[in-house]
Amino acid sequence: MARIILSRLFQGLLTLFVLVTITFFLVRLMPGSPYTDAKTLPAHILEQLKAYVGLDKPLPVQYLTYLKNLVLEQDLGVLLKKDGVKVSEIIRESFPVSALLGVMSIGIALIVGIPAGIIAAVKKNGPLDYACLAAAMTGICLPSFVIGPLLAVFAGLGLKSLNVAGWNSPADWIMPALTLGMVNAAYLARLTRGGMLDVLNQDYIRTAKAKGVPGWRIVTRHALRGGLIPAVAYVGPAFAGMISGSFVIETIFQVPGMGQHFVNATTDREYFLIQGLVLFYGFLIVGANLLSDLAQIALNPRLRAAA
Amino acid sequence: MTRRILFLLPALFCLAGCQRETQVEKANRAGILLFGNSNEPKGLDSQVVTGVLESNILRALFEGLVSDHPSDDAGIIPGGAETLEPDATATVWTAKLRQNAKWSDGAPVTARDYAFAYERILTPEFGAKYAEMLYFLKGADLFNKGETKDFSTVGIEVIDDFTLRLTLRGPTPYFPQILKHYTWNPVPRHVVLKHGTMTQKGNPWSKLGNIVSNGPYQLKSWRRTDHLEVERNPHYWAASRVTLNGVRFLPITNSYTEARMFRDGQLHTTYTAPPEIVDLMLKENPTVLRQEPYVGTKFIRCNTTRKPLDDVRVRRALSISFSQQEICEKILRGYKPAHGMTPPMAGYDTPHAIAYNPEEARRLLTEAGFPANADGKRPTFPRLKYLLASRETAATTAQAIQAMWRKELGIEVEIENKEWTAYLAAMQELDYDLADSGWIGDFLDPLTFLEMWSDGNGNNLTGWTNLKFEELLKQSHQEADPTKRYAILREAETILTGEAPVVLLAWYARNYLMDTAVEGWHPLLLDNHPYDSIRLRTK
Amino acid sequence: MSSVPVEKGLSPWQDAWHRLSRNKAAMLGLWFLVVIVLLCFLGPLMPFVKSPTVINLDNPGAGPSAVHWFGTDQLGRDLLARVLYGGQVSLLVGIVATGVAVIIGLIYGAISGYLGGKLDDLMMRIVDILFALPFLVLVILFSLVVDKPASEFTEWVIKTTGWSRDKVAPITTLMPLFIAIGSIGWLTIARIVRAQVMTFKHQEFVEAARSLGLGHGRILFRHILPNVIGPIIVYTTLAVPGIMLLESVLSFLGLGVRPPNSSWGILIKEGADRMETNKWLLLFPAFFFSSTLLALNFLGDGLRDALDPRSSKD
Repeated sequence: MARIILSRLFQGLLTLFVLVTITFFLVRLMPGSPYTDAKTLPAHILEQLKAYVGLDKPLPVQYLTYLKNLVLEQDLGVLLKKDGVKVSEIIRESFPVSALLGVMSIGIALIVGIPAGIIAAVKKNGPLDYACLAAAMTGICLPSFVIGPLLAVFAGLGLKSLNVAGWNSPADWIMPALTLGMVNAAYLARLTRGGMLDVLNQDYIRTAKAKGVPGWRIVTRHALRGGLIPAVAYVGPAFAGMISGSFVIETIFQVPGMGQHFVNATTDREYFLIQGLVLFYGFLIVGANLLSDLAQIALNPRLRAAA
Repeated sequence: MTRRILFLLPALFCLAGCQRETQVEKANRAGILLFGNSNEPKGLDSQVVTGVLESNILRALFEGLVSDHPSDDAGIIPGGAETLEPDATATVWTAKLRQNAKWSDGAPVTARDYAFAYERILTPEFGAKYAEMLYFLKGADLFNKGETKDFSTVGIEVIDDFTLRLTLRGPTPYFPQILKHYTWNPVPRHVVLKHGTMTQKGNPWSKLGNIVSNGPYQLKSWRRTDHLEVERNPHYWAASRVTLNGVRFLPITNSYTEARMFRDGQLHTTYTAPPEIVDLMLKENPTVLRQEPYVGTKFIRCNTTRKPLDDVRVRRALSISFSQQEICEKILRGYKPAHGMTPPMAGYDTPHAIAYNPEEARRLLTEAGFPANADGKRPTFPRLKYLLASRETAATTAQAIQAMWRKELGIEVEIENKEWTAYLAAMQELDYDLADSGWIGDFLDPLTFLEMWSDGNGNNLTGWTNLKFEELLKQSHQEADPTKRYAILREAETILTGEAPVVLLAWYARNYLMDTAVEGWHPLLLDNHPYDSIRLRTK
Repeated sequence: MSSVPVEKGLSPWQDAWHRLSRNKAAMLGLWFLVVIVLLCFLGPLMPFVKSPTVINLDNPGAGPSAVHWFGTDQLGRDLLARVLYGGQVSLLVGIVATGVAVIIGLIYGAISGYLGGKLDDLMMRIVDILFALPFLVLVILFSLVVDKPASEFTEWVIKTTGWSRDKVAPITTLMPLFIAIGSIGWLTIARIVRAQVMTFKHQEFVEAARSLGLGHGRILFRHILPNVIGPIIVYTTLAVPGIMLLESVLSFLGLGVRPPNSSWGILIKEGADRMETNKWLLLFPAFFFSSTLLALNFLGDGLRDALDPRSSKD
């Protein structure tokens, strides 16, 4: 067990290093620069600005400096368009919001998606299966930039008590969490259905059935544990994905989260912010994968034995 | 099925905690203006930032030598200076500062704070993006470009604590207009030096908790990408005059979200209103819709270094072969056809350079060597690329013009949309044929729309130069008489628009929504509304 | 280890088809897709479909009528035509980008799984690393970086082949999108393929082929890969919807389709912005888009059930 965890940790570190390197060079290949602005900067000003953050140095020097600051001082660098703001500040401020939104959405997704998936699997090819699937699919098939405004107009403008956007009171959490949760509920339902179907076809379930164990007991006592594996594997990365991919929802509902920074940092050419965000995201993914590996080992007796 | 249940959830929540009063109504009672401000400010340092949305906040926090008038564009209200006197040629200006002006920590605002700010923005190492705004000062450009290290060569003189003398590069009768710009704000010298050095990049003096301001308001709270709120500055010299208790700026990037928030009673005013929202509000609630002229011009840059756009006949043909009127009315909503580069401003008569005339346009193209076939098409005319940034109204306008050129001239242009920074980069590298562009004036004078087209100016970006035009601009810098100066500028503009390095599209309008509770907010060309005279009506 | 069923002399593919054709939802999805594809690619040839680019500023935002069946958009263009032409783009992006992803993933995963050992470790580590990159950011970065080379490529194609720009440009301008999406979307496929290849490579029929002295390439491509196609087809039908959604987000950022061309994603976005003044602009494209994705999903699920040998016994 410890060996697995250790080797996973090492792999994780390696992954992060490569991530940093890829991102570092990729962002500098983008057309334009952080100083490309609607009003062209005079050359002598541009020089000063570049020199201040070291962007005037040759690339290898910049790269080594970045690595050195990162490792020795845990310094992610500064924003290039916002004077005096550190990358770490942005992450520290926006991550809790995204985490809260992510947890709530995952919560909604789990509450809705897993039962729907189980019902669909148990009643396979029956009307209830199709109903659950169709509902789940609507969540997948309608882009969030349609669900979001629809929800905002009909629920937000319709109900006096609900603000159409903003992030000031718990009531403001409902709509963004619902929109984000719906998409993930849909995926979870499908994954659960698939996972359950796989398990329900296994011999030990057939045996249980043959022995006359009642249907619902088979599901809850025997099938669920195995059937949930795909869903569990999905939740960790989905959480990380929500943080980087909630750009659309954040702008629709005016949520001060992290997702908008991922996109805006790219279009603003905020080199250090992109690098910092990618690194942070990679960190989350590596962590989430580690956790979901552990969870899978816990759920699957065969893997547990191997460990 | 699950979805229907989900839709019920908000309803349940409503039963739990109902709020009868909208946020606007609450804010009306508290005297706080809820202000849609489009994006997160890049900072609160007057000498560092460059944008319009930052200026909205800086105007609440800081006060320069003069202030904006609430209803008169050219009007000046005394600000930090009690008097501002020019000499006979309007070259040397003496400001007598008011003795009771104080920073929000109680320290007096002195002439040194102004001089310190100007030295700071002009020092090359500081790398201020907007240093050019201070090039009106004698010797400022040389100092900023590092050609001299001696700051005493710049026309700034601190006579005593409350007297400041500014010597300009030439007669500038409109200098008070320039002074309204936030780059001329003072900085609290004692606070800047407490947190770092004068020219230190990222000096944290302007962060929440550190910042000290001299305007009607001081910073109260700031949560990035969520809100920024200012409250009354108790030390403001005219604190009794201030009507609003505070302003809450909301950085709402999505204009549709912003409009929804307005309709939901979460905002007093929006930053903008896209065409669809204009249509919607015309139907739903026209009293809150504001459509006001704004000092800005929308145009298409022509890359005059490329064939066939190096031919003035081609550029003119492109200019007069589509109906600006139709574009303004049916797509842009509220914009006005632009017959010249400079939008209407008092005292200046913009030359009439553009008149819709497709017949003439076809003649010009044929003359330029691109004859039409029997079907009206001109196969010899190269297929031009029309560069634009992917913002929706730009794409809509471009598609309309594309179709109009096809119909009237028989030529094809190809729309090439790029992500914002890539678009800017392509334009700045002259890697385009035609580029969708616009310009917002920094101050109320034709110069802000003409100077950019001079040779070597970083915002020209068309490759167009004209000696006579340069000559006239130089001449205008030395002209003290406003009427004569405008006549010179008018002549320069006639040359510019005659040569048509840009295809003019429209003069900007600001479309936005404003709650009926807001009083004392008058249409302004530069849109710099002082907050201290705004009132919120409670029922 | 699952056994490959050989019943009644039917090939596994025929068997799967039988099972699929019994699945009503999947068949409905399949037929719906056929209709949609025909509509989008052949519909514009019909006389009643107008030009999607002719604007009429005197008739913007009109509702459905006898002249414009779906009404007109904000520039007075025929919405039906725009939905059909937009469908071409969306379907093309979905299919080509997925195709690129499948080809890369198939080859990569097959090599990794078949050769195994150190190389496999290395190749899978690379996949892990790429998985830890935020997808959207990477796609944006990629398409920005590829944008210029792609437009140079367009010019080059036009110059060397002499084809008309109208034919070349609509495809080549989408290339950054294809490359960006395709070059990142292959990760999951590579993993699936590798896992499949690993299970098959020690099975009897492969051993048999090996003992006959067949080369690695032949074994891999003729004997192992056909067995892997099932999961890939399933994955593909499920991936296309996500990619079509991604295209709309990218186009919104200015990295995708160029006006006056359009895609369902763009039309829906434009419709959503205007839904309170003109609901048709949202309803029609959203119906086409969602129902296509729905059909793809049902088909994908049906295929999974049909291609899974175990389920045949139910």
